[in-house]
Amino acid sequence: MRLYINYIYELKKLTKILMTLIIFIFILLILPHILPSYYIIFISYALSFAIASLGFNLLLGYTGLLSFGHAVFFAIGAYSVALIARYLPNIYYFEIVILIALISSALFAALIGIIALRVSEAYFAILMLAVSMIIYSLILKFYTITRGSDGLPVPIPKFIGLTIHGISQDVFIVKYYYYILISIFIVSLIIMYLIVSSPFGKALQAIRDNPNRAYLIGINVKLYKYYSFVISGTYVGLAGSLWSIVNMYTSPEVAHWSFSSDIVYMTLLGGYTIFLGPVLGAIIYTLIKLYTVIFTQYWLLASGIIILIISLLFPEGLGGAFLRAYKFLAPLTIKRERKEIREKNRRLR
Amino acid sequence: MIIINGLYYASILYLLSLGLNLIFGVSKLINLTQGSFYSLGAYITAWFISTMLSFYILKGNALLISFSGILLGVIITGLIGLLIEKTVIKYIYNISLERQLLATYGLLLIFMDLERMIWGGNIISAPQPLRLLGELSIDGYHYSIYYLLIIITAFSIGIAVQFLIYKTDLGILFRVVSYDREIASGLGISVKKISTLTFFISALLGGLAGSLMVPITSASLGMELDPLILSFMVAVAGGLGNFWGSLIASIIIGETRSIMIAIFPEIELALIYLIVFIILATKPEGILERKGG
Repeated sequence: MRLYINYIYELKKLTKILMTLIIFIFILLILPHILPSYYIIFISYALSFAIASLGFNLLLGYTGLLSFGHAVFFAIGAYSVALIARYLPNIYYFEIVILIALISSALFAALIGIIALRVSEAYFAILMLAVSMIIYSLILKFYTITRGSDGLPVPIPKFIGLTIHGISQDVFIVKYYYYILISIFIVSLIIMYLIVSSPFGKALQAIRDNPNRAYLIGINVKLYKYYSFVISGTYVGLAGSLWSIVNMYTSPEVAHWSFSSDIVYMTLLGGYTIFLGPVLGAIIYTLIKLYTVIFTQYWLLASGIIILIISLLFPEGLGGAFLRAYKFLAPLTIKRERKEIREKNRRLR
Repeated sequence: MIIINGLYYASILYLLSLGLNLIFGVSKLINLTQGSFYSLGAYITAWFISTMLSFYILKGNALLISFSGILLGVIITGLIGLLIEKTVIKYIYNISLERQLLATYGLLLIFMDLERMIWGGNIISAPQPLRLLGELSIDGYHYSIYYLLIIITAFSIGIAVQFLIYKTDLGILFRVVSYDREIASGLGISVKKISTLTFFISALLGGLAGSLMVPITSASLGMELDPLILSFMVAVAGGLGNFWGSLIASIIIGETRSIMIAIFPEIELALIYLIVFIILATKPEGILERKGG
């Protein structure tokens, strides 16, 4: 009986999730028909940032580790695309490039994770910052390979079994790449949801809440933290490689600590306690950037004030604020329903 | 000369990290706004010196003006720090680390744009004190007196802060608040006042670092980012809340920087961060472990 109730509960939850997903996909698919192509490029930016902050949030929101250097994985993803385009144009196929970006960022995360996870809290954040700044300065100074602060161009990739030529990169992004981004984004969203709701994800949350208790109930804390770190690094690397094609260009700035803090900012903006929070944060971050650049030249001031307000007033980000508003409003409808039922019963009596 | 170069940069980093350490030690706050104090001090000093010296009458006492400019920069920065503490910072002492970081990062961005609004995007330079003080030559080597002055100032201020914390009655209050805020307030200590005072002192220190730096590198937008991050590295690598540790770490980083710039400038930046990485990877709690205070 209990199993049955659980099953019904899960089914209800699943249908709810599927409904949100379908609505989400529908909105994303309908957007190119109502918005000018300029905005589609911005949504493409937002989607690639969303993947990054989704991966980052596995570490921050679900494992409780704050890293101040996650831009390093972003940079590795972006630069593996750009370097292949420059030095190995023969294999510059989209599928291969993304695969290589995934593998290289996962390998790098696996390597760094061994050392970085030995320290905790503020020391971990600063250690990751040091890592990202090492990579930043290496990219900056090895001019012959990476062309330093000039950056590297990222042309339109080829596709296996499909060649696209004769169109500009803007048109390519709006006509083809946007849909690829949507599908990759949805797939990574689903995978992340499966990870988070699996026993592994629950174990991570136990570690976040209390590492000692998690250790005592038999969770291998170090190993699980390590897995979480590698997965999150891989996600950010994937986001970097997707972003570089939207941006058509990479520069060392993506490895700089200020970009890491942008990723942190996005995640906290949307709310790191909520699964979809980082996605919301990435979208709002892109919108803020777009509109403050259009309306004022002081975009740092505007985003500084927004950051300050969010950190002071909305501890769970904007997503948390929405949820709280929803929870505040939802009981009203439930109460009304209950009242109706009660009156019905009274009449029957 | 290379050694002196490294030492002066180390003293600037030490001053900045002293402020960070003080706030972290007493109020458990990781304060990115320290970078803003650095750039504010630099901008005010540079602006004061360059405007005052543009008047013909005042050309004669350039040295006096330079030093009053530095003093003014430090004091105004301290007052701005006080203002921020009273308006924003006092609300963020008790929130989580992530939100503290985010809030102070927001303040950092706000100050960056306010500086752009007030002084424009121009670089303001005021190299007069450096030139006026001249050089000291020992055994055929020339040392700039201004550099030596910075090193002496930083060292004496480091000792003064140590003295304040460990030898005075006020220092006892600081240490009590650092151990346990609740018990401190239970004992009748005004935790609020102590936190405000700490923030004020660290704003003064940040302003001083910026003001002292002006004659060497001119005030420009975004000048606070590199010293801020390096001083963070110094504070963390030395062990958060540990004054001697950050002294050692700042000397290591300053010397590495100046030596590598002289020998092999390509990997200077990477090497500095690599050293921090190695320190943290081998000694997770910093060079020296944290003592009380």
